Amino acid sequence: MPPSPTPSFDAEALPHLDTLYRVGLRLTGNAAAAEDLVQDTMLKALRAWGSFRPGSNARAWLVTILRNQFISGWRSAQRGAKPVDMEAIPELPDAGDPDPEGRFFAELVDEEVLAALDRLPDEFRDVVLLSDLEGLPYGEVAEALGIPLGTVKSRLFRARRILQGELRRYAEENGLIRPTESTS
Amino acid sequence: MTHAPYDCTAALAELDAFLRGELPIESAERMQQHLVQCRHCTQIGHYEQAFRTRLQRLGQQLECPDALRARIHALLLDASAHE
Repeated sequence: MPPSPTPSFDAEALPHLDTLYRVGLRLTGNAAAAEDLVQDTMLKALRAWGSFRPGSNARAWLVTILRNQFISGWRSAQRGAKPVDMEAIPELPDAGDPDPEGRFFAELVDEEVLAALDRLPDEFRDVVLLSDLEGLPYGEVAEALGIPLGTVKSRLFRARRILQGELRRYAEENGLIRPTESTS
Repeated sequence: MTHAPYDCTAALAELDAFLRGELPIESAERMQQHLVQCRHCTQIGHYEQAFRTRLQRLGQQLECPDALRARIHALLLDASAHE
């Protein structure tokens, strides 16, 4: 008898529980809801396992299911409007700025970085979440979110600038960026 | 075949892909040559990398809680028992 061509659900899906939980936590905003969302996602994924194409990307496939579950069942009850202006894109620092190499980033507390991330519109937050926090390659982010590669790159570009601007402003206000001593 | 000059605009457009290790080898070499000569892009590279590192740290420190993991294992066992 030939071996089954279908990889085992457990072997393909279980290694991605950490990623699913973290993404779920950012989407829902609380641990209990994230746990329920991940559990729902795994049940849904198990039932849909027959439609998974062997050799394709299980992580992106699972993230897609998680997001769809969230959008259909959870989103309406969650999260207020977000005030971040996505049109005014902050400039990158130039050599004359204090801390042009962004050393202040390392000093920011988690809560502040997460709060700034959560203020982004969903479609921008999601690309940063998958790409920068979870480390998915561009192609996998595109697959997980169901958007073209070019859209991933342009959203990522804009979202990172906005986020950097927000964090920079916070760092300035809280004394994490000190003026450089030389003023030449 | 002519190439557009590889200037700072071209380099910065590829910088994120370079930092993520997603640039093809030839483009990555071209980027490295540019960075050696260009202090401005090198500084931006440090800035972007500092930002990226901070976000990565957020991503790595949280794991799926053991209780949830156990619940899911139990669900899967249960599901396979009913197949």
